[in-house]
Amino acid sequence: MAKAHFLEGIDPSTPLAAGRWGAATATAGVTMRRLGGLSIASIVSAKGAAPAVIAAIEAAHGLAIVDRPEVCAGTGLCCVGTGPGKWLAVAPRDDGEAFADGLAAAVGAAASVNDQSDGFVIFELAGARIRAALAKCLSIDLDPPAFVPGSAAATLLALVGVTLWQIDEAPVYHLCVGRSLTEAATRALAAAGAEYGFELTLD
Amino acid sequence: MLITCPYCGARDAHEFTYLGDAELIDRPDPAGPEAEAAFHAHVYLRDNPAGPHRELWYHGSGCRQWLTVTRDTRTHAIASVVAAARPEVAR
Ligand SMILES: [Zn+2]
Repeated sequence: MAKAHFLEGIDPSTPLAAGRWGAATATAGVTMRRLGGLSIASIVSAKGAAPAVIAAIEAAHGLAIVDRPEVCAGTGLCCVGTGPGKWLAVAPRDDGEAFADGLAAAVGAAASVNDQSDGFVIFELAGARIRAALAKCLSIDLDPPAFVPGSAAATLLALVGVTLWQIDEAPVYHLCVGRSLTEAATRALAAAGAEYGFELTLD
Repeated sequence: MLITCPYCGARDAHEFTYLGDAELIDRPDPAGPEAEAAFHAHVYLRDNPAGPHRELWYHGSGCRQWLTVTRDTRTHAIASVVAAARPEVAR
């Protein structure tokens, strides 16, 4: 019997189920885990008000954020630079609206804050071959020193708009995708990671 | 072609949308002299230089800011990229 092709089952017409896909390697070279229980909010500064937003976040949360494509993580809050004067704020809590309201109160008129917890899904990407897999669907340089822990990028992953940031040297990345596009992004990563063994965790 | 966005760094041109001549930033004064002729030129007349050209690009798949890019239309060599929202440097 012919050996099954490593893309077998990664069918674009059905949602990809959790579990192992692709080559039957001892350990999955690429892992993708959906992170639950997160609140996500966008912060968009008023014209010229980015320094005021940075000061307000520091005063309210003790977190020094920067107006660059970098991720600044503290206890209970992480801010990812997505554009000039713009951040994605992420917190390990499941009351997104209250989270956004708290941030809005902290920044006042300096920025517009909106709850995005329903709109986005964040995945954790890891595994020994994760860079090789991402190289197939991402056009930015992820090799150090171009991209290191703390680096962030708003870019395209297989034509899907994403925000990506690195949280560990291993490397481990967090990937933020629009909820309705998660299937497309998941399948693109499954196909890219299939030859190294791909594991999807959805809990 | 790579465009080095001042916020994001070097990115593939596919992440950007091209608008056209950066002269569009300089909207004529509707109360100024010869306003009708100035608006006709602003809306319809474009130079088509073989060489350096100042143009507007939108980084829609990245930081979502408008950029003023100076590009050589013969070689695609890019001489400068600045944020269009900072008129003191974009113009
Ligand atoms: Zn950009």
